[in-house]
Amino acid sequence: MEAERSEGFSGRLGRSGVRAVARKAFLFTYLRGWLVWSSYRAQVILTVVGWLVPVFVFFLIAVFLGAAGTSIQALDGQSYVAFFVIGLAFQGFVANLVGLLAQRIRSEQMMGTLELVFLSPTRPGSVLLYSSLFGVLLNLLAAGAILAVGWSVLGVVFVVNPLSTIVATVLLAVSSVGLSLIAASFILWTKQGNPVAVFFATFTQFFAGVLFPVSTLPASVQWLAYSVPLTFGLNALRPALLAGASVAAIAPSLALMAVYAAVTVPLGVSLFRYTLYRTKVEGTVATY
Amino acid sequence: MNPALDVRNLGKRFPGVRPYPWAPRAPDTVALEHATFEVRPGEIFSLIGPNGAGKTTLLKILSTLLIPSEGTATILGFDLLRDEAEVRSRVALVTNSERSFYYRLSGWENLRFFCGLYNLGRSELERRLQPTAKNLGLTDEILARDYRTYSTGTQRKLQFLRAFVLETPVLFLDEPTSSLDPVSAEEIRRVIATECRDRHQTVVMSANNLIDVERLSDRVAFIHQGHLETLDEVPSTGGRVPLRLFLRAPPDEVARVLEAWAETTPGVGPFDVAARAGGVFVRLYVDDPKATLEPLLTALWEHGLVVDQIDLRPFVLEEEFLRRVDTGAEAEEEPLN
Repeated sequence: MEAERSEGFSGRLGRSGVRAVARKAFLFTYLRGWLVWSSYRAQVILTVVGWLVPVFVFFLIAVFLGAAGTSIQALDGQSYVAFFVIGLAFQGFVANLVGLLAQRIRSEQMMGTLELVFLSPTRPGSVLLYSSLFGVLLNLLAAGAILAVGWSVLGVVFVVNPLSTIVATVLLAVSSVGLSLIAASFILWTKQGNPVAVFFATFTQFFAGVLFPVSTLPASVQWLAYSVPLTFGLNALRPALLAGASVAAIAPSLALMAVYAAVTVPLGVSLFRYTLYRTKVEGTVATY
Repeated sequence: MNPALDVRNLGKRFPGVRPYPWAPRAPDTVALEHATFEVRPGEIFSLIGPNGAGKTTLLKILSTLLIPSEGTATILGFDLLRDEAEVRSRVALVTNSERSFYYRLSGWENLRFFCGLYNLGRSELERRLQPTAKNLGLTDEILARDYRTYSTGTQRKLQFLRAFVLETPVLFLDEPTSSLDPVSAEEIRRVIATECRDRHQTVVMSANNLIDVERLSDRVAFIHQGHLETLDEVPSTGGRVPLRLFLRAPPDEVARVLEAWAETTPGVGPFDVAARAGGVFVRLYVDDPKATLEPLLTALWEHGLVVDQIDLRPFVLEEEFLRRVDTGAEAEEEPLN
């Protein structure tokens, strides 16, 4: 008979439930997310500026090249400004999302709180999920801000199908979470240097149809574009936001993102579990 | 009675690393070997030993932060590896690091966050907080301030508060009073001695401050070079007072003189002589130091042995600690042929 029962302990903590989930979502999003982030005021200002500056930079380039406001055949008749506004909005969303968990783990390592978080009855996978909530909201805000600037300042005309947009955004987020888990595993193991996040932060801008269509890339590198979910996400989001395309109309891109998620999420979860196990064997959970 | 902790042959070997991919792998580091002990429910059990002996490693294994290389352990009947989630919901750990909170949040916000991970809601947290926070001198005003403004002592106290309010059946404390001033250390000891006892909480603590161990522990285990030995009770002198002398003389001669003197002098217990730092360190236990000291010094003086230092402070556990470290060091120095 277990000692706990014979001694009458009732101190088991960590039972889950709807209230517990809501409480943890609040704690991770508001306390650890918003309160900590907003306490660095300079960072808040610079982050918002960082969201918007590229939009104006590329707009000026487009004006200089005479592409602003014109419909281009290679873009299926869309205006170039509309093309890159949506591209930049969701490239930032995906790039930040992919680096998000790795950044959180690195930050917890540096603050010395990672062991304490993993010691709690909240499972490591749940910790990662809750940790991503604030980042997802912030990145959605960033994407929304870029789209708003595109509409109000740069004259982009949106014809939005809300359902298609929501479905495409959710699938894009979920398919990026797998990559985020893989990136987090790298950081848990290597502590610094994250090839996955670096790839998404830089290369996707050129290879994923963000600033120019994938069809204009040399054939030898087009496969790179189709190795990331962002390409499929943009293929779905542009018609959903600019032409009011229905879910059925963008179904092929949605299906590809779902397949991507079905492969990368279990892979990311398995890799993270293995890496956490290895760090517990090596005693380097808290090392930074 | 079933033990709260049942540890069998627990060992931890940290794999050696390669400094460069082409370099040979460094040898593994053995941090703990064949640790076997039991801790009874409600008991305060202390781990003592030199720095690097394996105390923190053992606490981290027991709190599921490290995976052991060998052996098994159960906590309240739950297997450490197989039932990890069950174990984690029943244990709390106070580390010896101040870096375990969010610097930009207040003490209260930090408590809400970390206790929330254990599904402790706001109202329940407030209810549990009051007596312990008061006993630790953590007022509402202090808890409302940002963690980054706290002194080292207050940071440590907040760690304790976080662990105490969880009210887990098992509590692990890693050097509970390190970096605390005497008043704060006493506050912590008082909370452990009263609140943990009242709750019948099982406490396993590592300590370098042996006053903590002597004041709080029911039993002690000594860890040295990864080996653990459980002492059935906190060592005591059995009423005798430890007497320590330091002399500059050959150890053999000192031992010979002391042996002859002890045989003819009543009220003298066991003694040992160890060569230390260019001299000889003598430990002996006597019934009455006042009555014994003068004849002892005279006996040594008659043989031309002059005592440099005398120490009468009753550090019983420290004596045991030093004796064991010395024994280990001697064993280490023995030729292997």
